[in-house]
Amino acid sequence: MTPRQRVVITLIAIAIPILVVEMVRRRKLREEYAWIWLLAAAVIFVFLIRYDWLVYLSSALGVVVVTSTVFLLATLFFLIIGLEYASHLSKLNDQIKNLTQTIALLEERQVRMEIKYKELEMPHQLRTKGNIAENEDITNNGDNH
Amino acid sequence: MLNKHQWAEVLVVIPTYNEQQNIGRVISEVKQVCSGSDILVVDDGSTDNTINIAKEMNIKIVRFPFNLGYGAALQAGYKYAMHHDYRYVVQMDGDGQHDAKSIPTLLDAIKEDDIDLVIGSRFLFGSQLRYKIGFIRRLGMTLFGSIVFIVTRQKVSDPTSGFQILNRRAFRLIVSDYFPTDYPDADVLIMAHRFGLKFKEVPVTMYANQEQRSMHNGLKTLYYIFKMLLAILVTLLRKIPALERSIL
Repeated sequence: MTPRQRVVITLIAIAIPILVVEMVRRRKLREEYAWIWLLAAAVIFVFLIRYDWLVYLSSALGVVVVTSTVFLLATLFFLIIGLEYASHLSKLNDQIKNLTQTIALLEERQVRMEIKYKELEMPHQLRTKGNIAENEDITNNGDNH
Repeated sequence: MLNKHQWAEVLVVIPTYNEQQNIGRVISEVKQVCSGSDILVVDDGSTDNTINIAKEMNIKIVRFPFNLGYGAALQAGYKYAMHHDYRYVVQMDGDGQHDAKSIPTLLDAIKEDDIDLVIGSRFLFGSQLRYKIGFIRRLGMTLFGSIVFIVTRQKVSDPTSGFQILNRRAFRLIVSDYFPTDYPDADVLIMAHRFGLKFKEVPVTMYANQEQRSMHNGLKTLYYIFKMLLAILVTLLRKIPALERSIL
């Protein structure tokens, strides 16, 4: 690995955890999704310090150029993370669907209850109005007398 | 001829999405045929005048704040039926494709022979198909019909028909998490069979969609076929706990 490559990769390995922690701090990323990115940064850091491990891994996988191993690991990482997100998305979809259905059903129930309530209120209001009118009549009659 | 008390056990569920052109006519026809039964329109987040037309017709309305898809709207209708103790649910489209006059045929069929689910078929002898179905669509129907036959040993001429009636046993399955809400079709029949539900077909009348809209057009057809094959495979592989089977 050339010194320039080493510097660039070190910067990336430092930038990732800083960015992730900052996003968690600002509540733009939940802790449960942060760990995998921190793990990725840690792996980059390990291979930066122990480059010979990356060379060993390449030969174990039968890969001739070490850079190809890096690309392979990166592809695998994004594949796993994509699958993980798709799984979360599916779960969220189901939860949103169930929530929306429940809200819609409750709303229908509320409208029905309001109509019933108004129907029950109506005779009571009429009765109350009738009583007020009767009382007014009595008062008026009393005044006339 | 059914009396009013018998119709009261039936809920007609009509999922709708931007159906202002048809919904009024569909509701009127259902009201004429099923006097005494409740009608529930599940509005799947329409952005046109559908909801206002439905409100004027004095029926029950469940409204989604945004579009969730046909299956989710249908499932909400079944959840409503479950909560309100209806005995049967008729599901029909809000685009006027399904002839309300066929509802009594569906209802008669489900009351016979301990049947849980009756499918209104547009291809059975005695049915009336008032429009032409495209070649690819017909091919898909034949394919899924064949798969349903292989799995259930029961011939189904119209596995994609959305004109159905279900009893309480069957709609317990629809409200469960097993129900596929994006394209509930042939996979539901296989699922119903695996849960031990009995189904049959009866001839019904179906018309063309007034605006020639369909859930299965263009690229959606390919996605539909792929999704359906995957859903059938998964349904067959899925282990159904004995406890959940016994719930039905």
